[in-house]
Amino acid sequence: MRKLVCIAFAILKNNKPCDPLYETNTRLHNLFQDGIYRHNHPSMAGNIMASSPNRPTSPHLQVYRLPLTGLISIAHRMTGVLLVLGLVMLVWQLLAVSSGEQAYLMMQSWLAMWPLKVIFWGFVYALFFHLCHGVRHLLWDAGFGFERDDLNRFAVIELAGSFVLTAITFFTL
Amino acid sequence: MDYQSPLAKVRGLGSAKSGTGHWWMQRVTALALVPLTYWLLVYLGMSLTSPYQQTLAWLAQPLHAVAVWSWVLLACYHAALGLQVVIEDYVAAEGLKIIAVWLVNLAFLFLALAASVALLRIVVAG
Ligand code: HEM
Repeated sequence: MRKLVCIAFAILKNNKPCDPLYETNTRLHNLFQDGIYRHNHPSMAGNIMASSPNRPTSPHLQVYRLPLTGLISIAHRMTGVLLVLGLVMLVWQLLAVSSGEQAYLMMQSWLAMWPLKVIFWGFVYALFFHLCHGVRHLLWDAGFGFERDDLNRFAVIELAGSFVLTAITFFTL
Repeated sequence: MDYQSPLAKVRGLGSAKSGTGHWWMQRVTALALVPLTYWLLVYLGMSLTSPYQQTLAWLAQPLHAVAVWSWVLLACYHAALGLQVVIEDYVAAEGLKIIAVWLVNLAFLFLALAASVALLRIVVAG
């Protein structure tokens, strides 16, 4: 069914299945589905998108419901960017600690307020999720875990793992 | 008159530039961050709940200071490399791309320096 929708869209957008670009996009898309899609690989979609904005495209993000592996892939990028905000806050926190007892107590009372507590635990979760998927990236780079079964199993392990690690941190901190 | 050799002209303009080194350092920093995250979380847990002197004393121990400091510096480096990739993926205009990447690099340099000043002050005080 998904395939049918895709082909219908492709025809609507004047991008026929015999078009070589359609083929390329389909192949990219299959990689994406397998979670091996790499945002930063020179030959991958990111660079194609950046260099020729008017190229004919087959529909992907609008039409497909991303599989778990694809969602995790984009979540890794989003958490990476969000963690930067956490890093800025950490440096601000370190500056407060270094500025004497009064600044320290002020910082503690700020971070004891519930909105900031929520942000703090969001940061911890994002960090663990990014870390878990990062470790998986390192395993990929070492050449392991490219089978479809592995991909799906690891996706679940990552999600569960980051949740468990956050819980452990919550109960030990 | 053009005195530049053809090689000098294209140097630094290739599509890959120092891509391999970039990719590699992203992995090296990632790997190093994994164990160091333990000390970061211990530090955070302590500084959010413990008395001032206790946190200072903990951070003043060399292992702890080095671990937290390394985490911050490596995270700055890792995040600068990572954001560069994100910018290169989504910003098409060449000039804007270069400016954005360098603003990011400068911002992280600034962050790393600020963190270093803070940690030095803490270690000296504690
Ligand atoms: C704690 C351990 C960490 C590990 C193991 C880790 C691992 C990784 C890896 C392997 C990548 C490359 C992904 C790819 O090639 O697509 C990456 C990307 C990235 N990381 Fe981390 N990281 C960690 C912490 C952090 C922190 C603390 C920050 C931010 C302050 C951060 C920000 C980023 C960003 C912005 C990217 C680029 C995302 C992308 O290209 O999709 N990371 N990380």
